[in-house]
Amino acid sequence: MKETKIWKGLPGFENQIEEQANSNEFADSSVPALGGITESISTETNTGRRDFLKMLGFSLSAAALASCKMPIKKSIPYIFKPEDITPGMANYYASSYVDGGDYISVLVKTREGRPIMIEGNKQSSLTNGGTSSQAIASLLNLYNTARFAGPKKGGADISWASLDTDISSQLQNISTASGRIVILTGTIISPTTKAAIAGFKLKYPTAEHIQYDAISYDGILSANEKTFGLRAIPNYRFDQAELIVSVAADFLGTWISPLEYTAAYTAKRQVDPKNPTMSRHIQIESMFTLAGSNADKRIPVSVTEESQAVITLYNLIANKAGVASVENAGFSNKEIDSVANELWNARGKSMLLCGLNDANVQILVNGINNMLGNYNATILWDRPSYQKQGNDTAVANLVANMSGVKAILMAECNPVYSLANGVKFGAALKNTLSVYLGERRNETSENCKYIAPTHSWLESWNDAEPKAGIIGTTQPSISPLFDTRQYGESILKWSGNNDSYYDFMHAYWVSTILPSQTKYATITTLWDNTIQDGEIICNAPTIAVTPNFTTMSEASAKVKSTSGKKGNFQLKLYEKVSIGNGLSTDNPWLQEVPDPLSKVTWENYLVTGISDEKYFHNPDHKKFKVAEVTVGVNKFKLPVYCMPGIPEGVFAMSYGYGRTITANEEFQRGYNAYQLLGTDLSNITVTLTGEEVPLACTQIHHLLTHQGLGGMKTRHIIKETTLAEYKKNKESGNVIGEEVPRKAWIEEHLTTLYPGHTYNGHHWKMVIDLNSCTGCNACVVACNAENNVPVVGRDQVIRSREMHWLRIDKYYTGDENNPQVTFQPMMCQHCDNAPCENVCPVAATNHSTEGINQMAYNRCIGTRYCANNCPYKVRRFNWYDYAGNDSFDKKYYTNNYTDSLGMQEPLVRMVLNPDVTVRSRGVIEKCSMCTQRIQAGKLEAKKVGEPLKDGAIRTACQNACPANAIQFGDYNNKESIVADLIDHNERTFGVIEEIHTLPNVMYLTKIRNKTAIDEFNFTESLFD
Amino acid sequence: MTNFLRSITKPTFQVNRHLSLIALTILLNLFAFSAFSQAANIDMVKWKAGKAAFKNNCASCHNPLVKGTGPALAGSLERWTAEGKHQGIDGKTWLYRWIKNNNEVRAAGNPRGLKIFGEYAGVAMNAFPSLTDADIDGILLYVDNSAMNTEAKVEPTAGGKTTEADAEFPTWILFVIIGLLIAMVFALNRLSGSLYRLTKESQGESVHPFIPFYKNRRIIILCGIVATVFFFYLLIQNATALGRQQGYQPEQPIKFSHALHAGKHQIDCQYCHSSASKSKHANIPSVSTCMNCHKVVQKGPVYGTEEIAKIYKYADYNIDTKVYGSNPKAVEWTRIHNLPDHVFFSHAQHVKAGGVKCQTCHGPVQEMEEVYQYAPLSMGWCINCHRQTEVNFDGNKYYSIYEKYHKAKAEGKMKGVTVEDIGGTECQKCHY
Repeated sequence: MKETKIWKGLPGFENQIEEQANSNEFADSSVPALGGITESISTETNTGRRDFLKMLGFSLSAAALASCKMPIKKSIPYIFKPEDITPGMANYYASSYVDGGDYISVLVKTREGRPIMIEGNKQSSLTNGGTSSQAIASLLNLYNTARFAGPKKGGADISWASLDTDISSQLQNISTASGRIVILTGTIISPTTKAAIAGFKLKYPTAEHIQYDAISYDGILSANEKTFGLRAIPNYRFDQAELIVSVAADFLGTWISPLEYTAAYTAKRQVDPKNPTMSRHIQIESMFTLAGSNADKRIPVSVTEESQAVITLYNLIANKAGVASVENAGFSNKEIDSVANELWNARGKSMLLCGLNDANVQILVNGINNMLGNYNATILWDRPSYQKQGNDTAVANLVANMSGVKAILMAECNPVYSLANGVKFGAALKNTLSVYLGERRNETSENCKYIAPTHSWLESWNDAEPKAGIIGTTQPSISPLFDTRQYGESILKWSGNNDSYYDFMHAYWVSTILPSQTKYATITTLWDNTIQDGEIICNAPTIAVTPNFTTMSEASAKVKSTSGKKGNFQLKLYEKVSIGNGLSTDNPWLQEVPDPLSKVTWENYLVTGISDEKYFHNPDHKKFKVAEVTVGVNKFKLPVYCMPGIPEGVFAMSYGYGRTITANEEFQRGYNAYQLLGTDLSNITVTLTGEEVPLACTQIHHLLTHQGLGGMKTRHIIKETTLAEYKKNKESGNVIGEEVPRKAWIEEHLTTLYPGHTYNGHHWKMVIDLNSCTGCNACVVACNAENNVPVVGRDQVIRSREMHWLRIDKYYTGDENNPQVTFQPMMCQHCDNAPCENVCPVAATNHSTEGINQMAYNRCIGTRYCANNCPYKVRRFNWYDYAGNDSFDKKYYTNNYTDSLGMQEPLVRMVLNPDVTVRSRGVIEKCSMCTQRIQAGKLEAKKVGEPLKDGAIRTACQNACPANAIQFGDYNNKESIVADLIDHNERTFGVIEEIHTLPNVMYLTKIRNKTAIDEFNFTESLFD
Repeated sequence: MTNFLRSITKPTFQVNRHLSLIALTILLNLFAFSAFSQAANIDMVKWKAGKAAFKNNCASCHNPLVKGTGPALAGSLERWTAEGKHQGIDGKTWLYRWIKNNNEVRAAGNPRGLKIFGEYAGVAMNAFPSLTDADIDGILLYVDNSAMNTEAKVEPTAGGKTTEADAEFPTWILFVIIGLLIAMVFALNRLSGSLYRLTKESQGESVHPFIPFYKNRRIIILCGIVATVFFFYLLIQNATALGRQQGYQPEQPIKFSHALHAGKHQIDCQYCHSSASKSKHANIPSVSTCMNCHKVVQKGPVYGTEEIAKIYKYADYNIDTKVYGSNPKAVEWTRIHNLPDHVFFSHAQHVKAGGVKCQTCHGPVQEMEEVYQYAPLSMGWCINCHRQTEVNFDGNKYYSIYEKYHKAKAEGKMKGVTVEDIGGTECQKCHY
């Protein structure tokens, strides 16, 4: 077998030992002794006698103050205790997270009436129990200090009554004078809200509802309208397709309904040892996306070639199908030829997707799928998706004719930020009756005359129909924190309907939902059960499609006319997995989650390939060259980040940054890519300014590849094989040393004189399937929320001080110009031979009788020996009291401490999990395997007096995973899933287990569904 | 010299000890005698059974002597008998029927039953069909002789409360006596020294110049060492005690007496602290829980209406119109048992899974007029208990996974399985 190279960062980086010293968080010697206080006292580098005395005096008086008197604590019981709340016990409410078109059926965990965690709803037919980073992080939007406290007029507070009178009378006047009224919203999937808007349109006949997706899907909607007579998105069945070919569609990260697709995609790719099959996935794209990084084969093409590749594919398949071809695009590639062959061979079982927002390209894609017979096989029209409904034409028309708009109501969107000419649009808002029905201050609300603040989804009643006939419900899990009103209710109010939104929704369900389902006979049973379950499947509607594939040549001609290669440099705009369209960028959890591919946090940047490396890249991963980019009339400067797998000349930048109005300036970094929409991106100029800036990039933090121990060459961190090899030999790829199968190697080498641990009761273990993990980051944010993991801010991330207990390591393998990616969730491995345990001078970290490496924060004195000795680099040191120390003024922290999460605000602190300690400064912390959940699960079993069932305890990361990649359980229970995987699955291995750490977290090898052709296409390494 | 000291002090101690013991014995005898004199006339077995039956069935609404949700029960047999026959059935039989199923008695039109029902605003008593006549005999015997309930328990209580025997012979007298004796020792020592010197001088022998004891180097060094050891002992003691509040007894917004509610009225702890067996918190009851009983009980035995009126104020309840207002307030109790943030403690784990009595950690709450912190709540105290307490190993199927211990127990190698054996002293059982 050919030796496969494995590396992190840039190729060849692992040879640069000195850089590792730079990326060590403990190498920084400029740490102030007292969290910035000393800086205000002394500017000298050496501590002088006077400073010493000052500090001595300070600590003495602090000690004296602390010993004076115990603070008196109050215990305040309820006045009338709500029946279903028991203090100290969590309540779960089934609900639906809806943000624009994103829909996730969830359970909201509340403690004493406060939502503190979002878990997936296992009963959901769509998402199968997973959650996304955005859904979990939306907790912080509820507790965001930028939320409106009440209605406003021209910036001044007014009452709801006077706001209603004002707006209703003005709307009436405008309507009487036949003035145009517009309701501009994001995609609305709530049937009830749509009914409310319909009522509004009845009351004001001149009113018009325009839906607007910041990231538009108008292309695919228009294409389907033309070819099927239906403006909707079909039901993609990733669990049916055996071959998935995606042209620039990041269906695992951001495209349409990524969570639903991830669940179905990974279900089809989980390899059963008895009958090893999995789907094959080919990605054709310019920017490296999450879907691309999971593909079995990835074909990098330039930006303009993405649409040309569709034309080429069309012609190749049309030839095979004997259908008339269209005019050639002038782009051919032997890889595309092989894709066409594979597609043709898998007709009826394949699926072609395209992420380009161009109706003509999408028409060709529909044509290809039609020729392949994929409709009614893998792409169905039984339950079309309503998750994207935005109409570009209507929006463009609105923006162009703002002077004719007399009143505009805006909800679930931020057009001033996300329109290309947002500033102009904002100015126009000032000349009309503009009402903003959002939650928080943003660019649009600043330009509106009236603000009618809406509830957070966690405070609202609502329903959602993401796919035809699948209805999810949202129920409030907290009383409104502020004087807000759900925007649906505001619209009802202004249309003269004084019902509450709840009553209106209930009435709508009686009239519409009840007759459309057969599960329940009465509204009471329907309502009560659906609210409790969170989702109901109604009868599939009769969808009539009228296929029409006669406009192919016309479409391809249009594509060709706009996609000719124009310049040396092209720009691709993309969405980051966690940041998304940027409407919730003011969220510290999402900001600090590293992007799966670039691992950069807190800002956007230009991504380019490594063929331009000598020109653009600084190899030390610390400072990045700044380039000035000219796109049409727009000029901006951004640092350049080089990444393998991106073709020469392609630059990419993400949406979601460059906000101007947020709670904290920390959220305003980067450049707003929406300003470039509509500009020709195929010919840009990029020039270096000579500046160099740091990026908060975690790619080379906490490396396992310590050179002194042999680096990547001898350490077995990730293991992978191909499906063909796996079919031949179940242990393929799972080797240690010189190709010795793991089991045999361990039996021969890992012997010891020392007695091991014995586990009489439980023995907790975790198994992570590298083949299922897509690297989506949901587990990272779930861990943050569950374990009160602090957000440290950009400056601290640059110093390698991010606090995430769980990180996702990304490794490149194979060809350096077109590598493949393996994601590896990495957290404390709870080693049975833990190197951290025997170096702690105070025994603050030791081993439990259940196999957990435990960390006692109150015992830790902060020597950090353990972090240095940990081979997995998973221990985190608290450099500051991030959750906020009231006794010190914030100003002392301004130099180094960024109060990014705002945990000093009582409002934000409501998100803290009361079952987990808020760690203080100066202690080490790390993954506890969600010990609070283990304790709670064991207690429940003891209370009922039954043995603990496998699966009764689920860790936060496991529960969040949409791909079902994480398994957790008791290894001593031989019927548990983990015991079965560890004892009987030949793919199981431990990371660098050859150093005899005996980790309790195990991994399953990654399997790639490669063909012989893929192997052949490996090119020689550039950097050998 | 030391022998001399011992010979004087030892008998003195013994005399003191004897005195206190004699006093204690006399006191105890007095109590025992009074209890015995009362118990002489009644069947103690029956009385005890009656007490238990009363606690289980009646105590949540009744008290023998005080009106509660229902009437005070002492003398009820007398009162029912005095009523005479109704429908040819005597009062005692009616009473027994009433206790078993008061609904039937009222339906039968018994005038006394209807009268009581009317007195208590139509709040019906629960039916107790399971009570036998013998049970009721016992209950009636107990309620008429409930005073015996107040027999004094001479258990030492923590928190520095002195027993009566101690109060008779305060310790300061001891210190005065010891002080005087030490002074005497010094005086005698000096005297004998002087006499010795005089004798020696008179015999013409040379003597060392006199060095007073405070200039004696050996004494100074000895005192220095003692002082240093004592200083560090105090320092460590006080440092570890920082933040511990054993004996903490803050003033509360309402003078709520656990001695009255849990002690005299025998209300179960979990009637008010209902989440102790379900949740990590043993909740402090809401104002509405207080109002369950205090809508009826408007006067207390100690403070009269004063303290109960505070509940009405918090609940915004008008006692005359019996209507709740719209502006209730929460009672801000001062928290007595405080654990640091880094300690996880679950009441449910101890109460429900462990079967630990409330009093084990909270002390004799049923005797506390004002609650104080009984236990030190220090880590050593927790760990000690975890080392000594055995878990319900055979009774709870959860523990069936510990096969090795079950085997060891069956083979007699292990007597019982303590909390420590199943990992109850590990860091991450409480710190996470």
